[in-house]
Formats: sequence, C-alpha cells, structure tokens
Amino acid sequence: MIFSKKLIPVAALFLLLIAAVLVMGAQQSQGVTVPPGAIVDSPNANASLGSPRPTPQAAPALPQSSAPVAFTEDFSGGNLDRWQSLSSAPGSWAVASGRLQQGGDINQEPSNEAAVLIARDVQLSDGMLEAQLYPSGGEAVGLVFRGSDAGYYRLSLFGNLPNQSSKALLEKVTANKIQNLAQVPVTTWPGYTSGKWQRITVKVAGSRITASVDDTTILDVTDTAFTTGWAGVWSTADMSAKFDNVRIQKTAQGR
Amino acid sequence: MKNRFNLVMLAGLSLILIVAASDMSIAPGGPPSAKAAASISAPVETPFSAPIDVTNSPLYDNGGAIGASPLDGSVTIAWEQRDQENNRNLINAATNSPFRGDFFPQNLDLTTYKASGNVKIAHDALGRRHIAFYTYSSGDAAIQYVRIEANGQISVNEVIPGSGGLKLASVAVGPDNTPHFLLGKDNSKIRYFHRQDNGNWDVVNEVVTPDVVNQGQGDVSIAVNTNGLVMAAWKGPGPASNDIFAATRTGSGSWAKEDISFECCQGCPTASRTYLPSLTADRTGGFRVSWSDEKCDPRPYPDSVSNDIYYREWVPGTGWNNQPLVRVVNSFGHSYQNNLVVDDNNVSHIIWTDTTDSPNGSPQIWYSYGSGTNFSPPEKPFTGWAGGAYLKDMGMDVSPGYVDIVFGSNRDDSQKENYYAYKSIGPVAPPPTPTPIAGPPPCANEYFKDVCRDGGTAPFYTAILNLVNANIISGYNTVPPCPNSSWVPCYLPFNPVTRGQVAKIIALGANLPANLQGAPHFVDVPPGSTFYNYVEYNFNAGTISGYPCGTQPNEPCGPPNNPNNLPYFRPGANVTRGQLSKILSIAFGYNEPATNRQSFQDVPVTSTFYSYIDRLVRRGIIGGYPCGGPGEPCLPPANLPYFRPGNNITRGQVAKVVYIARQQPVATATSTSTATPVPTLTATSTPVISATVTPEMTATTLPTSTSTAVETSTAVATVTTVATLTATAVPPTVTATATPAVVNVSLINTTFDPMSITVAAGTTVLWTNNDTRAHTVTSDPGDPVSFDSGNIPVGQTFQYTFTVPGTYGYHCQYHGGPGTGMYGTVTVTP
Repeated sequence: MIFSKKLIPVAALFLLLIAAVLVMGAQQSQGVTVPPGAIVDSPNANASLGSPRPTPQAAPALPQSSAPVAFTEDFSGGNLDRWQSLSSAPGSWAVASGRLQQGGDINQEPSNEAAVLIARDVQLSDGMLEAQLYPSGGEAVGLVFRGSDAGYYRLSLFGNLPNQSSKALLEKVTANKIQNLAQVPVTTWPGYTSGKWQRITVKVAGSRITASVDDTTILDVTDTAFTTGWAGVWSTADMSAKFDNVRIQKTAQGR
Repeated sequence: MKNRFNLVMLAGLSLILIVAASDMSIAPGGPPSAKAAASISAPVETPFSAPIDVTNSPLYDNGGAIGASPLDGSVTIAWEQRDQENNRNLINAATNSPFRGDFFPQNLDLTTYKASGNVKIAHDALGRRHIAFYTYSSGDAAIQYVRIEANGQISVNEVIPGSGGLKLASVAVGPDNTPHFLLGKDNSKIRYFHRQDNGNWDVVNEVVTPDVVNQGQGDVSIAVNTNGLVMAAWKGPGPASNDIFAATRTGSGSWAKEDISFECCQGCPTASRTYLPSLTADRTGGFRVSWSDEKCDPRPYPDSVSNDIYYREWVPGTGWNNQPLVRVVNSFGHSYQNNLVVDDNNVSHIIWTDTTDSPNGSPQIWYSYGSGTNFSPPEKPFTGWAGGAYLKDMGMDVSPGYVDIVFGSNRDDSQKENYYAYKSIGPVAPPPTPTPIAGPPPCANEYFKDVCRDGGTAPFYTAILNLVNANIISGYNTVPPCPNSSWVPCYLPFNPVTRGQVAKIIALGANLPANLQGAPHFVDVPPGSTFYNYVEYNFNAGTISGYPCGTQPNEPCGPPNNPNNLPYFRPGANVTRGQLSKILSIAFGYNEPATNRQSFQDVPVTSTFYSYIDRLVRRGIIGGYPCGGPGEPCLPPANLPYFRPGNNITRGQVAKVVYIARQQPVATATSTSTATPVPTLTATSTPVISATVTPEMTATTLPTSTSTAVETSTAVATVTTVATLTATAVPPTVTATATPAVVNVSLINTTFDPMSITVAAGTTVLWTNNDTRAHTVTSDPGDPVSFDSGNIPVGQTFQYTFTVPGTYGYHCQYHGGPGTGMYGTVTVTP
C-alpha cells in the first residue's frame, strides 16, 4: 500500500503530463478544426451590454367614447385584415403580442422612410382619431387622417431628446412635397417618452385640427386642404414603434 | 499523503488548464474558448473622440458612408440629405483635410436627381474617393458613380451603365486603384461591375449568383484583396430562412460560391436569419466578414428580434475552411448594422448597434476589436447619444493609426445630423509581407491564370499575350513561383522585373543585333548563364552597363573570381522605372533632342534619365502618376505629375511599354546630335516666336551643343520655353516678321469651346478662361510640339503660336487627360 501510495501521485503526474503533451501535439499537428454546427464564442462574447429594457405592459384602455365609433381595433385577432399599407409608404407592419408593431421584422425595413398603415373601409371627416402609442427611440411617429389620392394630414411626434427642435408637427403630405402647417415649440410640449404607453389624439372639425397627448392639447390649428378621407397610424420605418387600441369616432358626416 | 496526492493532481490538472488556456488566447483560429479573459494585443490608445457635427443643417440628414484617405488620413463623408419640402433628396459629400478632428465641410451636391441613401465610399491608394449610391436618373432607379480626386475635384460623375433598376450598391478598390461594384435589388440577382481608369466599363451586369435573392438594403458587400482577387458577400436564401454567402471571382463570369454561415444553424433552436454582411480585405491577402445573425440566440429579446454579431476570416490557401464562426457579441438586444474594417496591423475593428442598454429604446453604438477568435470586451463609446443609428446611418473606415466612424443621430436635432468621431489605434507597424495567394486563380480561363481580360491586370493583357506569341517573354510553369498548380502557367504581372529578365525582353523586343563582340563583359554573367547572350547583346548595343568591381563587399576585383577586374551586371537586381526608360529609349533608337520641357515634378531636365523619359513620354509609351500622393505634392502652377524614376518597374509594366514601343514606327538613327539641345540662343530670345528666331534654328542644322550655348541659355530667364521652341524644327519658310492670325478658344463649363479647330501654320491660338475654376492647356504626349500653360486662373488667358503642321491633342491637367474629360484638338495645316 505504501508502495502504491507513493506511486499513484507520480503515475498520475506522469499521465497528466503525457495527456498535456498529447493535447498540445494534437492541436499543433491538426490545426484548428471547427466541428460542424459549432459556434466559437469570442471570450468576451457574453459580456453584458447592460440591462435589457422591460417588456411592454398591456396598453391602457381608451376612455369612454363620446361619439359614434366608426372603427376600433385592439389587435387581439392577431391579424391586419382590417388594415392596409399605404402603397407610397408601405413599411413593415405586423401584429405581435396583441399589438401593432412597425418594424416587427426591423431587418426588412432599415430605412428612414415613412411607413403608413390605414384602416380599411372608413373615412374620417369630422371626429376623433386616437391610439395608444409605445414608441422606441426618438424618431417621428404619429397619426394620419383625411387621406386620399390628393394627400393627407400627418401628425408627427418626436421623442423628448435634449434639443430645441420642435417635437410635434402637423404636416400636409402630397405626392410632391411635405409641407409643415404647424410646429409646436419645445417649450409647449417636450416630446414623447419612449418605453411608455401614451394616448395620442387628433380631433378634426371642419377646418380646425387639434392634437393632444394624454389629454394635453399640444396643437390647435386651422387648415382647409383636406376635408375627408382615410385615417390611420404612421411611423418612421426603422423605429420599431408599437400601437394599440386604435379608434375612430365620428361627430358629423362620413360613412 | 492524501493531501499530497491531491496537490499533485491539482498541479497536473492546472498544467493541462494552463496549456489549454494559453492556447485559447492564440489568435487567429484558436479552439472554442470558454469565458476565460481574453488576451488581445491592444491596438487602442485613446477612446473615441467626442462626435463632431458634420452636417449642421435644418434638413434631415441621414448618416452615410465614410472613407479615410490612406495618404493623409483625411476623411470624406457622403450622405443623403432629405429636402422634403421640395420632395428632393441630395447626396452630399464633405471632407476634412488634412487635419483630423478639424472638419472643414466641402459640401458637394453630387446629384441633382432624386436620390436615396445607400451611399458607399472606397478610398484608393492615390487618395481618390470612389462613391456609389442609388439615384433616379431618368425615372427609374440606377446606381450613380462619382470619383473625387485627392485634390477634391470631381473627375467622374456618371450613372453606371446597365445598372437600371438596381438599388443596392457596394464598392471596393483593388490594388490597381480601380473600382469594383456589387449591385443588386430585392428579388433579383446580384451583379458585378468594374470600371477601368480610362472610363471603360469592362465588366457590366455580370451575374454573381444564379439565385434570386431577397435582400434588404445593404445586404451586398464587395472587397478586393491585396492580390486583386475579388470577393462578393450577400444575404441569400439558406436551408433555414437565409444565410450569408461569399463568392470569389475565379474568372470572367465565373464565381465560386460558398455558404459561409450555414454551419452554425445546425442544431440551433431558432431560425437562421442573417443580415448585412460587411466584407473587407485584410493586409495579407485574406478577407474578413462580419454579419448580424439571429439564429442560435438563446435569449431572444422579449419585444423584438435579437441578433448577434458574427465574424469569420478567409485565409489564402485554405479559404473559409477550418476558419471558425466567431460570435463577437451575444446580447439580449438587437445587435445589428455591423461595420468591419481591418487596420494596417491586421487587427479587425467592428462597430454595430445594439438596443439592450438603451434609455429610450433607440440603438446605441458599440465597438470591439480583435482577430481570429479573440475580440475585446464591447465598449459603448457614446453614452447618452440617443436617436437612430441605422443601416444608412453608420459607416466606418480606417486610415494609418486611426479608426473613423460616421453616424446619424437626432440627439441635437429632431431632423437628424451626421456626426464624425475617430480614435487613435496606435502606431502603425510596417505592413506584413503579403502571403502569396493560393486560392483559385483569378482568370482560370486565360492562358496565364493571373492575367485577365478585365480587372486590375487588363491593362497588361494584350501586351503580355502579344509578347508571348512573339516569343519575347514567357511566364512561369512551376510552383513556386506560381502559388499552386491551378495557377500554372502564371505571369506574376505585379512582381518586380530583374535586370536579367529585362535584358532578354529588350534584346528580343527591340531585335538587337546578336553581337557577342568582346564578351564576356560582366563577371557575374558568365558564358552559359541564362541571360548571357541577351546581356551581351544589350551591352554591345549600348543599352546597359554594369557596376565597377570593388564597390561592394560581395563584388570583389581580382583573382580568384575576377582576375580581369570585370564589372558586375547584377542580373538578379530589380530595375527602376528610370533605368528602364533609358534602356528602352536607346534600344529602340530614340535619340532625337529632348524638348527640355519638364513633364514630371521628379524628373528635372538635369536628371540622368530626363531625355530618355522625355522621348518615351512624347511617344505615349510611358506615363506618370498624378500629383497629390504621399510625398508628391501638387506644386502650382504646373501641378506636374510624378514619374517615380526610382521605383521598381513591374513585369506587367515592362511588357506594356515594350509592346507599345514595338507598335511605334521604327526610329531612324540619323540624328546628328545627342547633346542637350539648347544651342545658339541669344539673350534676346523670348518665349514667343519673334524676329530673333531665325530659320536656321532647326534641329538638323544646329551645331553641337557647346559651353557657350549653355551659358547663353542660363542667362535667359525663359530658357525652358525657348528651348522648347528650338527643339522643334521650325520650317525655314516661317519668317519672324509674319503676323500670325489669332483664333480664340473659350474655357467654359469644364470644356474647350470649340473643342476642335483647324488653323494654318503660324496661327496663334488664344485660350481664355471664362469658367468658374482654374484650368490648364497642356499638350498630349506625342504631339509634334509640347506646350503647357501651367495654371490659368479664372479670367486669364494663354496663347500659343503653332508653327509645325500636324494634329495636336491637348487637355486640362486638372479635369481631363489625353482624349478624355476636358480635352481638345488643334489641326495645323501647312
């Protein structure tokens, strides 16, 4: 036993040294072989890039309607059967987790162009268009209304980034240009907060157009360019914004 | 004892771990590593600079592409600027030159068409910027190509022929400084284009893959390695969703395609979705690529896709084989939009965006460097910079000692601005010796497998084959020097040529007499040696000489090896451009008086090689390099090009100049004077033909140059111009008292108007610069008489009186060349 106890560690060391030499020799003689299906992680591949953002909670319900509801959508059906992309600004829209998401496959549309999604079979003349918005990033996002081949109105909201640019624009979009009708000073409205649901609303009554965020009116202008037409939501195509609970109420004409 | 046993076991185990761990840190190509700390040779000395607002405009500025000059580190940024009030997009470019960090925008509206982004830039070794973007030139999409010279002039601005309907562009520059393009569009095939420097699009719409692929913007990438091998990479349909593919161009119309991301989707739980390959060449004949990949991510981000950044290297000889698929970053968020560059120390630098640690959900920029399987811990250079930084918004390049990036952000302006930042990556090591390529040959269908009809070797193609057919040159039939058996025969056109080889080429090419009189003349080219006959023919023809013995330790005089004290020829030494000019000029019998007009900044008329180079240039046999390169400043007013007489001439170049010389009319060896032709001028001579210029001032009647003539010449301030005049044969019938007519030519809109004129001998042509920029009026090589205005500022004039009948081509040195760009002709009738 004594003999064996003395020999065991010596033999173990010997064997380990042989194993080490064999390992080195094998690697040197065979070079690097990548097993099929293997991925080699860089030693720092799993370093933390920080805390992941929280998963968005369910969007708050809209307040009680105050006028006849012409259209409402909570995306619980998981499809976009009642929607269509605007051909001139298609984007990449999808329904995921009961929400509408632009850039659901962000890779397919990595551009800064506008993406517009409009509700089928509904026209808005006078009334209210509203939606819950969950923006990511600071780029433009908002609502479109009174749209036709002649053009449409676009409410563009920007994130509350620390600059003095206007964070809310009302624009007239036609085939040839995008014209600013009104821009809200940053002192009036600092911009939306990313990673948070907020209710955005447009009210149209004749030539008067008002816009609000979470019941705070940020814009109140008059314009007569467009009187009726389709309505919907829009987003800069690359910003992965989410919408939910879209609703159109009509207070006057329309069908 | 038990404790001791454990200690021994522990020591043994440690030894194995040490062995394994030490091997892990070896890059490139180490085995799969665990989470051991990486040991990466750090090239980084400073953090990124604070971003500098490049655009600062009220318009919507999408970040774009960036190219850094290898000459001075100046950076050019090109980007899309959206003028949505006028529904018009512009492509602008700005350069900071030459001060890094001090950005001096030099905005250039590169297109008046409606344009989109997807701007790409590649810098060449001459400091030229090659820019590609998609535009609507005539209602349909197409790719536009712009080339900006090192001096900031736009020399090329054209829609790529055959690119109609294409929207995706990638551009790279090869060792010959010509641009290669990979173009495509969604649901179509990827095509390859190449433009030669003479403006010829020698490859148009060459299909790279028969697959019809669905690409996103930017999903094509092209690179050219240090050996001129072209590689394309793209996102294509794979076994599961899509993969990254790469293909090398093995010949005209022939591409060898491989799925380089396939392996990692085997056994992965998630679908294979790959995007945005960023392909680049390294400094040793290899390629490197990174891309964004969704598959195998065990932590899909809860409300979005979760891509990671992957990386792989292509090594000369074995290609992609055995090169691991390296995951550089495995994040919760969406790692995307990677850009990869390789610095002069062969270190890879990658930037990408990731949405993990984002206060407002917008992507943040991350950076890592490394090679093989080792990359540094990701760092976020710009904390607090919100806003988008997307595909069209981020670019990266590298220049000696620096990494430069551009990105778009709406932090300071909701309409976005472009920002530039850089970081020092430390001193630059000498470039490693390129590894001979051992992959497939670039032109498998040609006689020489490395001399193609198109691409970088095209300029030599005809010349080499012609000389081969004439049994003047031959290539190599062995490995080495050919890289492998599939390259046999090869010519190695970019290798330097030796003095022995030149002796053979010149002897056969110029058909020198087989004269062995007095041989042997050189101790190191004895009878029976490979080049013996050719060297002796050259010596007896006066084309070459040797080096006296005793000047080098290994070139002794006297016995035992050199009892007759013969000079040495050094047959294995390389040949410079200046030396070859002399050899060629003498061999082909060019011995007319030189013009005494300096054509190259680095070849003064006092240069040993001046007259020989002058004769070749006038015949169009050899040319130079535009000024502006490293150590080659443009010196106004002439801004002469450089000849680089001390540079080695390559095998391809030798073939080309000998071929051209053989196409020339046979020179007559009847000239009476070989002296510098500056004779008989008097102090009253002026640059303009005047009464003092007499009919006897012809080349054939001039006396041998004398010291008096030289003294007289140096006493005249305008000697160079005078010498130019006297070097030409002024017909005796032209009298000094003739009053020449004047014909006007306007320099306007970067053209000569009229472009072509015909005048009688003795007519003075007056060029007036009515344009908004400076120009020159410079005769073409080979004209009967040379003339050069030097710089003509706006509103100024230049005149020249044509006395010798013939056809004169001329051009603006800034905006044209012989027969191209801004050029014109003058036909002088007797």
